[in-house]
Amino acid sequence: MAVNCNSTKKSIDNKNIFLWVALIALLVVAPFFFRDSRRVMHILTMCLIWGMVAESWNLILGYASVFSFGQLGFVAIGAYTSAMLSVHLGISPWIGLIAAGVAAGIVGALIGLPCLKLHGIYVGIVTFGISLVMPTLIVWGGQPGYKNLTGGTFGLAGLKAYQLFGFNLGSVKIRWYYTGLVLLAIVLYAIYKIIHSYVGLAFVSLRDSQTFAKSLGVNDYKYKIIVFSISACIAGIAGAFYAHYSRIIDPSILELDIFLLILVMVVLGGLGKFGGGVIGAFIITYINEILRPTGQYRYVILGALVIIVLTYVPSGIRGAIDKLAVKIKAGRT
Amino acid sequence: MSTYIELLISGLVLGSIYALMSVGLTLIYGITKVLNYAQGSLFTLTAYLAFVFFSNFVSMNYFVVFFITLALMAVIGFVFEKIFIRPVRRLPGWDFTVIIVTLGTALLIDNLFLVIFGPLQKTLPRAFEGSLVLGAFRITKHNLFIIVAALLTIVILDRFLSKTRVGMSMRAVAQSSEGARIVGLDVDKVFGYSFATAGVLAGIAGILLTPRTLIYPLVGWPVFQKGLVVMVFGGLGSIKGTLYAAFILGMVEIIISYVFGARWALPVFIIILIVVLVFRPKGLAGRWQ
Amino acid sequence: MLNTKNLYTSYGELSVVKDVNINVEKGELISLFGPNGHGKTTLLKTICGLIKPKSGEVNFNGSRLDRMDICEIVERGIVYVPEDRNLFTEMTVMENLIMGTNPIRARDSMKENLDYVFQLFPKLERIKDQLAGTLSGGEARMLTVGRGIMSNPEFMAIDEPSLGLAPNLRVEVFNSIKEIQKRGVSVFMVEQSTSMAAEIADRVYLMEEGQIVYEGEPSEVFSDSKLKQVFFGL
Repeated sequence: MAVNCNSTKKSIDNKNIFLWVALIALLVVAPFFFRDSRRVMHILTMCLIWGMVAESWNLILGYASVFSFGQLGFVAIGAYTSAMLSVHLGISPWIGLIAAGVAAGIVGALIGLPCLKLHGIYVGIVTFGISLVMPTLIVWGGQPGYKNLTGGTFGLAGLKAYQLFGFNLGSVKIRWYYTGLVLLAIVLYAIYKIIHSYVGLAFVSLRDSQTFAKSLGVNDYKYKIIVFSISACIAGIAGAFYAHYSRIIDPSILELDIFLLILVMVVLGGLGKFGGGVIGAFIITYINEILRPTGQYRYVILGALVIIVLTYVPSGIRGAIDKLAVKIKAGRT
Repeated sequence: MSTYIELLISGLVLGSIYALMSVGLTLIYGITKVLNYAQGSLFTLTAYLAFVFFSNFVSMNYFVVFFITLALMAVIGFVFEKIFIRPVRRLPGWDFTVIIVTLGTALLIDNLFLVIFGPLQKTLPRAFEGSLVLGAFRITKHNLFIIVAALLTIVILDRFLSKTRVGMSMRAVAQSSEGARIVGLDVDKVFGYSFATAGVLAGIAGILLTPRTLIYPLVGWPVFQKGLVVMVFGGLGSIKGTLYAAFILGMVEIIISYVFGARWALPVFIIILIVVLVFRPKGLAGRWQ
Repeated sequence: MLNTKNLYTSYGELSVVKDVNINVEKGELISLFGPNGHGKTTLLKTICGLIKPKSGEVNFNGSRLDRMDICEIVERGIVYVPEDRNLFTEMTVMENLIMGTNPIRARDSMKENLDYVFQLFPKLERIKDQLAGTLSGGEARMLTVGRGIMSNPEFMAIDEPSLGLAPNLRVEVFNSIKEIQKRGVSVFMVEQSTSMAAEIADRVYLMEEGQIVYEGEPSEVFSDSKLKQVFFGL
């Protein structure tokens, strides 16, 4: 019996690895089928970008069980950091990319300091509130008196493309796609390392047994801030890449529909499951795209889809939600 | 001097609206543990409903429309829970999923408004036109009506919760859901009643405020955002705390708008909220366990 | 009047109640003994409909309770009196008692049941305007029993009525349970090792590891030193 159990588990592991290899191979060769369609290449690139954002959100929401609703705020901070450096100071977008990560990470830590002391749903509402406030700050930063720092409502346009080995990514979609793919791979590798590091293990132990882990001296506040900051950093990097890819960044990045879409990506793909956010990103970005011709009905349909999928999709995909729920429940009582 | 009195009145008006919105939110949260992101959509829905009534039955008395719309909102609130919330509650980990479902519902409803009514703003009549002049300052009759109606609603709600069987059963479920089952309460129904009550509260806020703001598909959204802050500020599930918070923040918003401009209200709210939560992690009236 | 047939209850994979067959006649007072964590509370909750059984039957006056919704079960006159408080802490004692009259069957007899509760526990009348969350352990226990009486039950399942109470209070609570029985209510009560619970009972059961391992009269238990040892650790 025991032997049986082991072999089943092993085969599942093998299957997982196979699945991942297949998936990566698919992502690598995909452009060869679609290279002529700028639209498809654009959708695929957006999948990669949202995949990064969703996966960073998954890290804090799924693994650290922190009810963070402010992830788009960090995307915006990253995007604007890189965009402002590029537009106002002419700094290379590559340096901008790093600066974006650092800036979002620092802001994340600063926000985390007061917020992560709170419990459950309180964290959610405060972080959500912070991201709601950001458009106001951005518009304010775009007033003429401030040298039009942020570009206000209209945003900052004409952002420069990345230079890579002497190539300009320019408007060649396929170059952006591969750059995005490499970036996503690095992000995933980093997240994988984090969840298998001491910090990651500390979280798994906290998630599974609060009191036991605490009796071992696991300080969840400290680790929450670290992971919150790392998650913000990744979101910031994704935001910077997004800004330069789109060549424009404006406050619409913080709109509610994007918030909902990415949240659904995380939940659909599997909260607290490695790579879940990426899978969710591909599914949702694709659905969102095929609904585009429905015009003003798009969000009606999308809203209905969200309700139906979350209500009627077997909870197997989202088994980890239970754990988060337990955590939230613990915070609430 | 009269400026200050007028600011005070504006603060009271705003506080009244926030009170109605956030008491609904906190009632739902306290009883059903659902963070209802669609509460703003219920606000908007009421406004459109009232608009439809007023534009189709022009001669109808304001208060007839007022109460018909609210009665409809009670039914809609009940059905809302049945359709969108109840199926999710059967799932494991529902208290997180349900937030996203209510968000999806908000997206659905708000965009339906856009499809049905278009992006153009609609107008709603006021309860009373004109204004009262009392010595050095004046108050529009509609503003006075907002304050009176909100206070009356809160008094009625208090009576309802403390004296009627349905109201008591709602409190019972909030305090101990296991205890509620033991005494044989139909918890599903009580959840439905809570959403019905919250629907009416959002509805009153909607009918009262939209004559001033005009109606458009997202009109409920900013009110909901601030209601959310008010709810947390007051302490989740505490009606008393929420009322204090609503009038404090209503006042703050008027002062901030007067001094710096309206768009700074929410940023200041968030700062106040964070500062308060640092010292009182469960809000003004929340119990720290 | 009430019986279970091959009743099984489980939490996930873990069976907690295994193949339990018990019966309670009208007006009987039964005590169920057993060590902590051996499924006594789960059995009680299953009978009263708070937990759905995995298999088996719960029959009450010829109808199947295990298929019913809890509201309907309570409406038929079955009430669970919990061991952990489960009171409505921010309501007054009086309001808690009123909540007990939630079933329609209890509405007509509300006044007389209230008098009866106050006669049984005069203390409750004195503190009727106090919030339930501020009560002492003994008062809270009286209130949970009182709330049960208010729903006008035919069958009361009482979970560890003496738990955490001072000896004199225990006597008071057990006496009142005996009183309730005299009113024609069947009582099925769970205890760990309080001999008084056996003294007032008509019959006793012993539960170990989810199964009923002994059924008999209290006199048999008291006359057998081995049984006494098992039941009360004496």
